[in-house]
Amino acid sequence: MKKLIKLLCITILCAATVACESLRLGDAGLSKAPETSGATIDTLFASLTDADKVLVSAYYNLPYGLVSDFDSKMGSDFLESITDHFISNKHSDSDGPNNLYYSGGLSANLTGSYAGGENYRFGSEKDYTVIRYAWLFLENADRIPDADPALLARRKAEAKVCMAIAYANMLRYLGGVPILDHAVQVDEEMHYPRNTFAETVNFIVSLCDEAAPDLPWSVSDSEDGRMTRAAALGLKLRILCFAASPTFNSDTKWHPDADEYTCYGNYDPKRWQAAKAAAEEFMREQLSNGHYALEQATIAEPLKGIQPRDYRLAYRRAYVNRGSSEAIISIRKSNSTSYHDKHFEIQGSYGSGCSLNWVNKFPWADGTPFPEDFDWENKENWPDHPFFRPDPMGTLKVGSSTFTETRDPRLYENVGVPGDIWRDGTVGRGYSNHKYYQDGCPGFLMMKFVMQQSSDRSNPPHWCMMRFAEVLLNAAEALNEADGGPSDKAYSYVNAVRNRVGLPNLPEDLTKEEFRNALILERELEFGFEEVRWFDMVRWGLTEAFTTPLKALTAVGDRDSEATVFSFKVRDAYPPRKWYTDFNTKWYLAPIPAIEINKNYGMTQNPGW
Amino acid sequence: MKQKVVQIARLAAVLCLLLGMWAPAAFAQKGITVKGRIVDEDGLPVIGAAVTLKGTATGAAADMDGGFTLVVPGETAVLEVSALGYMTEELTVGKQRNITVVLRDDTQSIEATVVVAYGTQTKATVTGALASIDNKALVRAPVADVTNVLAGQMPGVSTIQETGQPGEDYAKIYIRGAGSLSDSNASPLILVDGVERPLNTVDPNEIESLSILKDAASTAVFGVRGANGVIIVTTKRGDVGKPKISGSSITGVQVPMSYITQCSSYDFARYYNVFQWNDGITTANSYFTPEAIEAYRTGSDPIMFPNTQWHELMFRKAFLQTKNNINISGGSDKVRYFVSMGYMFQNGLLKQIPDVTYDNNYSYNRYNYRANLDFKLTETTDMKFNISGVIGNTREPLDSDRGNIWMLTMLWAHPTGSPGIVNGMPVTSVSEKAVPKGLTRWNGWEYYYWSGFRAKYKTSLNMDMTITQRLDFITQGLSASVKGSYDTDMAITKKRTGSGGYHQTIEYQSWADNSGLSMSDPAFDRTYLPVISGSQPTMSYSESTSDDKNWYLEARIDYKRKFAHKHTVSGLLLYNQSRDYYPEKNGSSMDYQWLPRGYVGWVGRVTYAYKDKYLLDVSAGYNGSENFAPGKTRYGLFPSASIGWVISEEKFMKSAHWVDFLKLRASVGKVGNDLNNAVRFMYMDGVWNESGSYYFGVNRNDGVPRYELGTPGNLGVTWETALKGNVGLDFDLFNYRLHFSGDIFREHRTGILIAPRSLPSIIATSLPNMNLGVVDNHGYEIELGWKDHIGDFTYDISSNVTFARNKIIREDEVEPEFEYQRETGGPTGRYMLYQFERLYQKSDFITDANGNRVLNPSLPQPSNAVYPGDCMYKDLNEDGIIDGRDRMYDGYPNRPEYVFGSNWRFGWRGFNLTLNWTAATNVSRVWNADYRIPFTNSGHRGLLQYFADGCWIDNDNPWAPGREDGKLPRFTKTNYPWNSMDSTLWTVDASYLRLKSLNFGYTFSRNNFFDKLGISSLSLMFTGYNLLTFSKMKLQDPEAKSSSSSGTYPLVKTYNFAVNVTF
Repeated sequence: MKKLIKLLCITILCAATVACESLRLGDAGLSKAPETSGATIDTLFASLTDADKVLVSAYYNLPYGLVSDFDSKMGSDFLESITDHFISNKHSDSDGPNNLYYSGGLSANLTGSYAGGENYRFGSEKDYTVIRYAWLFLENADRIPDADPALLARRKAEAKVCMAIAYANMLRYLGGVPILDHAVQVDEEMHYPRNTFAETVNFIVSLCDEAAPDLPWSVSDSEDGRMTRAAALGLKLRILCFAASPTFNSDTKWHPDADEYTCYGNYDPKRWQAAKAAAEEFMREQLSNGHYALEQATIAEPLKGIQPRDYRLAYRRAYVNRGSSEAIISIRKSNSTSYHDKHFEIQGSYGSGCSLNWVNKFPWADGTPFPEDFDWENKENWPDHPFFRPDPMGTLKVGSSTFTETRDPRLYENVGVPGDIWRDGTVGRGYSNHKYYQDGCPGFLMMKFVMQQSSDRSNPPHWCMMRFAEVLLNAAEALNEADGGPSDKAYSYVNAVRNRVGLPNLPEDLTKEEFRNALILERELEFGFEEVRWFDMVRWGLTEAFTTPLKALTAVGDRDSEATVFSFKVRDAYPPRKWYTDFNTKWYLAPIPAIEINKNYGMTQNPGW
Repeated sequence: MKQKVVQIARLAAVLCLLLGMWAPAAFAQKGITVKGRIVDEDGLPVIGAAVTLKGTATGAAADMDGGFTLVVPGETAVLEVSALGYMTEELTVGKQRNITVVLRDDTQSIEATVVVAYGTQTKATVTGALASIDNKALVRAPVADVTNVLAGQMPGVSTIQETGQPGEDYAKIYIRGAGSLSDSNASPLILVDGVERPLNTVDPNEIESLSILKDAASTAVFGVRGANGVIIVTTKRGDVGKPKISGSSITGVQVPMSYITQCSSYDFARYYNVFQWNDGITTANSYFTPEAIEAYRTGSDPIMFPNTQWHELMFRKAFLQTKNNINISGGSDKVRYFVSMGYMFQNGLLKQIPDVTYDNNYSYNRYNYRANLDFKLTETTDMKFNISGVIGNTREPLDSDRGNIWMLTMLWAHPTGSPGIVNGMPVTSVSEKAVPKGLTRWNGWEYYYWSGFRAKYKTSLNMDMTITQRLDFITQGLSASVKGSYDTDMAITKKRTGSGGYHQTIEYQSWADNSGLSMSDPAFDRTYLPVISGSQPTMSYSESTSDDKNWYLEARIDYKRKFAHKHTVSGLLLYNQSRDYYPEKNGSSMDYQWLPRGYVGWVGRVTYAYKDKYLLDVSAGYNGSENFAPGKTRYGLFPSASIGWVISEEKFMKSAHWVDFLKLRASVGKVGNDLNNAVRFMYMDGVWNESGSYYFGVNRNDGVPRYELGTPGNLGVTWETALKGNVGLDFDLFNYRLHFSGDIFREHRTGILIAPRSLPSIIATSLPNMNLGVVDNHGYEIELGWKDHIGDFTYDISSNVTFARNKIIREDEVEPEFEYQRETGGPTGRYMLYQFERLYQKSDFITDANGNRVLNPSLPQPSNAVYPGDCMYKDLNEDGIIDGRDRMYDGYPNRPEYVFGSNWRFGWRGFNLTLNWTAATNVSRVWNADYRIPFTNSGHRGLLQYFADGCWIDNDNPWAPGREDGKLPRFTKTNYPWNSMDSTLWTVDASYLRLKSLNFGYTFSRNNFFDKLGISSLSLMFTGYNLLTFSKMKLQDPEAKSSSSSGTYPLVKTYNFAVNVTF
């Protein structure tokens, strides 16, 4: 027995040695739950400073138009790729434009790598995340003790504008969507019927109207990017114009299956009146508060006077600079300058680029339209050089030669045309004997957001979702449509945009239709890659923009690198689009994934899908 | 099949009866001299075996050749032949005068013990469903990893080996298929010497036995962790006796099993042009020039217009493998020992790249050591102490994290891209002017040349100790023991990243001059001009370390006693606890890695046997998991019961002499599974975490920290529960010549942890795992063997089949639009596929009023624009449109439903031949994208030979002979998404039959010369592994991974020569 006791002692000793550190028997032997390492809703809503950290999660999930790490919209490609402005040759597995739009493969039943290549995938995009965080903020904001009432009201109004932007984004891609009036809990009954087109528009407008009085008209540099009264009113104007447009505001249905969720179902001129009222409201505020203004050219070299390049740089400041006097809604998710690079990277080894159709719409620098029948192959018939004219005083330097731009300055900032410097400080690779020319490239590269030289890319990026220039053109449009023709005010808004880049005023005495067409064209020239063209094609029902085959330009340089003289030949752009021969208006709105409809909480399918 | 077996058995029984009746009639004479030979199953003499006349002291011992002579009284005399380590044989002399007796290893006896959960049982009294394999079978296959030996050896086990990369070539094991919704949550629990340890680091030479526990009765004691089956490995221990030294050495070559080839540069160039032409590309410089195509055809300029087969340039045809082990065992009354050391080396596939100064190949070096010691501390106290370790060095080239070597070489590199190495420096590409504009000139070294390497050194040290005290003084048969283990791992990964070094591009002088001369111009200067780029190679250094430690503690009380020679009672009560400091699952770290993971549990078991005839086994595990909320759902009781009836022990069976053993078993029980991927503490509510900032302000300094809500907790979450039932039948007939073992099982698994799928995604929050899934699994296993001898030629043939099919009962699936899109109701792991009908032909198109070629309107219209040579899929819902609604769940799972194994063993006078066949069927694989898309999705990469041989080619194209009867879709970049969709065209039957291993060996008989050297046994062997494979799947090995997008390190065939010697 003694032996036994001895042995037991040894045994226990051994066991203890094995596990001396943390031997706790029984339930204590299981790991304790980890000490909490994050905040709770109670700690976050203990002060306005901390509650702001919830609000910025709503900001963070707002739509972002630059191709980024944050979302891989269209399989990391541009929305512009499915307009008549740009041709993607990306052809990766997940690429949306090629796999879903050009080929016609989009459907409500996508899975695998093709899912996510859509321009909008209901249920997977971040808009409802914005709405959730906004509601979490709104539902809990009143718990914050000792909050400054004015600041609290302002923050709540910001949450409402974020929510309005999310719904507006969905409205433009999908039509009406379920409107949530609280942050949904996991255990509640899941029944959220789809709201009609009209209800969704009204809800967005009411959010903007509720928010506007509590917001400042503009903010200081350190608060730049926060929602303002201008953002709320600008958004309201944009959405009212969209909703009043003929696709949705018409007695004729845009698609045989179009229903109350995807249009109004009738024409009502009051909808343009509402847009006009919103435009006037914005302009009234602008008149009394000022602050917003188009970026104007500054003269770089006083001896030469104002140069085309000076206009181009003013235009660039407008879309690229944070804190620009033109920024109405500005989204920012990173401070890293490499976010500019993403736009280049996705073109990296692919022959993507801009269409000749778009390039041809940019007028000569004096405003004369560029001839549709321009004889690209025979230089002797050219009225002027199509892109650059040799000019000893010119600002474009390639080797020892200098050149001057011959077209609308905005062409050069949107499109990398043959002969222009691109990204690495050398002549861009759009011509077919360039070392890095990519198979299928339509002859034109993308310049916007890529920008010319590395020195252009040192500032933190932002996505300028709405510029003052758009407000001006939206206002001109609302006035023209509501008044039955362009008023002086309407002219003045468009001309301001044109004059900023040195173009003359629009001809006077245009009819309503002519003015409307001039506006649509002006928007094409002004807002390339700013996610405007697609919605213009949709809301105005621009069928030809879908069905006109796109053209490309084969440019051959006089040498392989740093070419300055080119011979041109027009050809069909590659790849072809199914739309050219087989167009259907179902493409105006995105399909709803069948799986979301089959969950039976109240979502319905869009027409034609 | 079953019926036939029964018929044969009946016939045999009748024959035996007849013989039995006839025998006594011949009885009369006396004093017969019988000669004989006693051999083992390899036909080797069993020296010293005792032959006695049953019931007397008369006897003889076998001599050096196994021979004996004995005078017996008459033909009815019964001889009893016995030897240590062998089953005792009895035989009646009868008419025979010269007898060959084949003694069987006693491990085959039904009295042999098998390892079960927390103990051992004799084969005869086991009531659960389990299978085991002994050391001999484990060391026969020349593989590095134990997991690869298991294929086909035991019913109920399926293995899938996905890669042959040295050090990474272990197989995945499934026991009775997969009972859960995802295969990754269906992996079994593995215990080595009673402690949870990885299997792939144990040297097969150290293993005494390996048991696979399949049903609930066997695994209920593991409770919350037993649902996927359990593998128990027991290592060898010493026996009393003088030191026995065994050495074995296997050396051989490995040969990659490569399936795919790339086409020649001539085909590549022509078909690339067809590809461009098909897509309507009109820029002339996007095509290979006719001069280039001609140069590829004739091989006139192998530098500028090469035809490089990269796999020949980069891969070895064969590479070395060696495995060596030496072990010493023995002991005295007080101390016994088993000490083993092993060394293994596997080389890799890659050739050394000239002028790269580091070793750029894969390799694996492994050192194993083990000492298992047994001490008798007092008359009633035993102590076991085991210490073992593995040191593994894995080396692999760095590939810029671009992918794997297989992908780059076999799929991406072009035959036209580079001629390889010229003047000691790799040519990264030929002149861009030699190939079409924009064609990326991939070469196989692209990411390997001076890219550096990674070397991982991993050492593991495992220790465990058990002290057992027999408490017979309290009551007979009672004992108590305590066990503890402590395992540590340390790994250092050294990474030397290379800078890429110098490389060159080859130009023609006239191209470099920008002369603009055409190649056909007589003035064209074809002098090669190397353009060197890159820089002096440098290698940077970085390292990372990781370590792990685990301990396990167990205390138990055992009781076993037989009363009145008929009531055998045993009992077990056990407490255990474990802790893992850096928890991992499937090789990747889990959540909250800084928090150790622990388990605590109680085990109870009672068995009762009446006359070893009626067997009852009741056991239960009671244990908890940190994953579930304290209180209600944390702990669970997992009971099971099993019964056995050894029918052959019944009186009424005694007359059936041909039945040696017959047992019926049945079990039912409940087990659990608490793991769901890397998630831990599933009950905990998600917290708000800071995740970056939102950047207000014009400058960079006005960010506001951003808080995001984590996944909400699920307070009610608990383990998956598997209710399992099993019925089994085992019998041995005709003096153990025929062996049969069969099981039928059913499993109903509920509460499988999945994230809900049917909630609207507009609620925009991540959802916790919930116990929502239900899966049923059922199947059977049969093992049938026959062994006998003809003179001293012995043979043993056994085959097994495993069938397991599961069925999803519930997975919170969203109601599908069409019944054929429902996943619920079918097995897990199926695919959603379009039904491929044929390729569109030109005759399917008409010209419309605008002069456009359009698809005949009477055909179903695909959502995508199609052209002749594209895929036509079936319009399943018959709405006239072919789109995503026309896909259906189809095919078999990617894990075989049927697995077959067949083991053939022949022996004759020291020669032995073993063949192990494995086969699998009811398994589908869908090709990876790279095997579906000519030139791959980027349109810039290699062209596989089978596309070159089979793609549809328009008769009108100007570049290559037309082939409008081609079976594979045309070359196209614009329409590859349509053609390469998951469809039955790319789905293959991955059934296979494989000669998994073959051994041919000779064991020398004992002789004087050996005795002088002290050698007690010497054998030489040739072994082969993966020697033959028959499968419809031609492009890839039928077992190779299908999930990775681009293939993987190839599996290998192995040819070895081995020596085993025992002193």
